[in-house]
Amino acid sequence: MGYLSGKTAIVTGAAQGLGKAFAERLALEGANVAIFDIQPDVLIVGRALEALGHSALARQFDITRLAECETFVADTAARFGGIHILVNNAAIWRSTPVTDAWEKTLKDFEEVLDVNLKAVMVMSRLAVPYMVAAGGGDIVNISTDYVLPARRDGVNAPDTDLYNASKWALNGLTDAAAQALADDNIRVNNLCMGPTDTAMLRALFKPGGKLAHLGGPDGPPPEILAGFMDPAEIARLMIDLFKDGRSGENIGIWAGQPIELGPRKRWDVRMRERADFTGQPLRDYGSPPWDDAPEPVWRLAVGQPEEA
Amino acid sequence: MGDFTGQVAIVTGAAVGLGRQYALSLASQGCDVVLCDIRPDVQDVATEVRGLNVRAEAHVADVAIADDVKRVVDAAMANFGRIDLLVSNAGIWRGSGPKDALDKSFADYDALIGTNLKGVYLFGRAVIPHMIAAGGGHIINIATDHIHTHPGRRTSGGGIMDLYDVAKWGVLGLTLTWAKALGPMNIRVNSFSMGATDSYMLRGFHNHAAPAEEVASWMRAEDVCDLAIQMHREGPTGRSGDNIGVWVGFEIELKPVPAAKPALVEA
Repeated sequence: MGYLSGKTAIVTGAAQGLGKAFAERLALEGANVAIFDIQPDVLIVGRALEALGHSALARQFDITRLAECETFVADTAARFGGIHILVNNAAIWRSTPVTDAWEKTLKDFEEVLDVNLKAVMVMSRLAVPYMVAAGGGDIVNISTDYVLPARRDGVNAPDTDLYNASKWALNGLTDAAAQALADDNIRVNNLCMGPTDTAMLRALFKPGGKLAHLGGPDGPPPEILAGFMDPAEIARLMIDLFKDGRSGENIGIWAGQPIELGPRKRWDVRMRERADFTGQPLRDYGSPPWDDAPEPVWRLAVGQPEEA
Repeated sequence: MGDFTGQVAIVTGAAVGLGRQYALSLASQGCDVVLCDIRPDVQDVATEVRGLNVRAEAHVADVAIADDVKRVVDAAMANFGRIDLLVSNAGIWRGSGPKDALDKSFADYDALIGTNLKGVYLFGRAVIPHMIAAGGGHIINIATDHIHTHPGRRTSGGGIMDLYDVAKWGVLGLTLTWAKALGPMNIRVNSFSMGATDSYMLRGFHNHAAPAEEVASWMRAEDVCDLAIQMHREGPTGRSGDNIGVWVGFEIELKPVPAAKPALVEA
């Protein structure tokens, strides 16, 4: 019996890289895995998992197509009897310099955010009712170490404002959902990785990529590749995260440093770290006391939101 | 004559509340102001601003609509010839959460991401080429204390407005990225994360029926806008990439930017 025997996990963008590693690890832990991707290789990943004796459902479609997402989630629940884990891994990366032409500016906004942000909202909204019905679950959103205090140079690339904004924006989904779903025993976390050996990162070093001058037809040279993290290690950490039970956290994973969850921090400490990130040390805001601060409970004060 | 005489600022969402106050505060320093809002009475605010002996013009425009944004920025350049400061203030709120139905979620996404994130993105992208050509400028994006709380308070709007928070975190991503990209071009980009301020939006949150003592506990719009004035007054060598936290119960002041950079690698 694996740790996740009898559980069902959905992984988006599972044809390659991190998504594939997540699917393989979840299957290894005993979970039924339901995977999709816009790339046809996701079907090969699914067949390979089945060949190893795992239960897998694989389908090829574009995550921005709502009807297909709805069908996929419903089919997953029907086939495996529920949904317990959702890994929102699918994402795109695009160079969007601030000096772009206006037409590209408009097109990029929709295309980047539809995949990196809107689809995360859609998949989460679709999966949550099944997790509630199952008595609990885990949602993992895939972010980037850009959204954590810098531990190395080069983060927060200046020519990817939309990619960066989409990853910062995930903080909102993770943070709010972790609070709103706590009573339903559903945990929501961000995995915030530095450079990991994925197709997305390798493509930057191939001809036509932003860092092509450092790479070649096969992507990055060995000395650069050696600095990337192994997706399988990130997937291992994700399982540790499920076992740990924490929620609402940004888990930082920095290249060249131990891939581990780190100690749980008090909520106000980690929120401060996250909120005060401007590349500078935390400022001293003095009182009021925050040692004994309870987690405040919010509720919609009155009335309905306004249209203006 | 004020400090900003000869400068031109664009203020979005300028018909009411904080936006109107930004326009008036900037005008009191001699700054010409281009105002926009979806509410036609933004024209009345422009009249009020002109009473402070500066030039002002108002446009009825939706920040989420690219053609509207372009029209406002083009008009600002055509009529005033320069853009020194952009205050991306326009914003809306709605409650939303992870258990919402998809139909509601899509409507909320379009409204909140449209105005609060795309509006900031479009206006920034529209003014940046003019600021680059002019050799400098300043962009102030308005976020929320949901993403930058005072000590002792948890981030987010308590889990009851996830898409609002999403948009505002996204704004922070834009602020930090633009600050880095535009630093070499002498363009500063900062954001404000305010707690409860006497604004049209917060009054709307309370159905415009908040008790007087509650309203009295909020920060005054003038004081918050004065911080923006101070920040703009720092000039070309001033801070950039900062996200200013301003909260009830704390001094309303610009904290100095800490001098030391953090160690890149923690021990």
